[in-house]
Amino acid sequence: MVEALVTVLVFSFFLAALFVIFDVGITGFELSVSRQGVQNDARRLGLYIDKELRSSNLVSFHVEDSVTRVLNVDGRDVHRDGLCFVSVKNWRGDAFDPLAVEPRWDSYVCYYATRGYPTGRLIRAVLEPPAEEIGPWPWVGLGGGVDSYFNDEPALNGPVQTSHRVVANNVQEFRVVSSTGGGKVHMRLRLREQTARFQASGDRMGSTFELNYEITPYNTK
Amino acid sequence: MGMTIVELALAMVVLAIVMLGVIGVFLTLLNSTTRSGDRSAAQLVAQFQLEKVADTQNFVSRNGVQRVYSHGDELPVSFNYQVETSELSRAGEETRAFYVEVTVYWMVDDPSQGRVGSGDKLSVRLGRVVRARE
Repeated sequence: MVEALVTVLVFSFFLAALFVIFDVGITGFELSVSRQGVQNDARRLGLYIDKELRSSNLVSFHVEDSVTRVLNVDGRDVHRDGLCFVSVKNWRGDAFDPLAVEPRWDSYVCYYATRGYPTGRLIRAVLEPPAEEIGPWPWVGLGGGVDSYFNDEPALNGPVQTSHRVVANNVQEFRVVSSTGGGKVHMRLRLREQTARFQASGDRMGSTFELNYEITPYNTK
Repeated sequence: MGMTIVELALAMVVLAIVMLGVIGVFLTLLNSTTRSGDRSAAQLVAQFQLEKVADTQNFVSRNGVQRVYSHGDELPVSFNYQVETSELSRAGEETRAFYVEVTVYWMVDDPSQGRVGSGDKLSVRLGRVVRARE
């Protein structure tokens, strides 16, 4: 009888230890994968946005950073700003006007973060207003209402939007500060994923990765 | 022929050692990912500072700290950076050029101490030539 009890006890200990090992192992692996994923996402987005911002003209920048774009997440204020700037749809061919010494601007590109909780999506939208409204200046249509072109549901943006896509799903903060006088734009992009949970303790762990850029658009005059 | 308490205890000790080893492997994996995140963030900080020198044309050597979230979301990591510039003189060239080197280190007070027990570096260094705009 005593031997049976001891055997059950030992076996229980064995099973509990095995459970803890699997829990720590699987959760740790999930966390590792999620951290690598967040890093890769951030670096990919950084390269992409950096290239587009550098090709633009700082004078055309419109930053949407009103109070309606500030959320409180876990006791911390985070920005989900919007940013629009003049661009060229296809940089190949005759995209550059040698007489005017500037690109032949033909569209505006907007990046903005939606206000989902605790993370939002980063949307890239292309706006094509009438040709006479496009130039190295902010597009006038963006002043027509706070959310006219920064809607949490991008399909509901105004008619000038010709395409949009979701470039990230895990944006905790997208903060843009434009300094026309200083000739540069500062951008902070923080991605966050909360995937791993230790079953034994109930603790949740997240992965966060942040990018900071300070960019001087090359085609600023 | 039943097992004695001593045999059981011995089996438990062996099992505990094996399990601790397995847990150790998983924790090492997690630490590696954390260090990889820190290193990626440090490289981005260095790149950011290099671009800043090129954009602002400020060729003065300086130090600073940039706090960035690089793995968890509890607290940002403080990345210390040193920007060192040296002017390159080349005969026949009209524009001035500088070699700019940025060293970023974290969790240590000095980049020369920048190694942890496993041999991983806790510092990164990037450099490039920047030409002064006329």
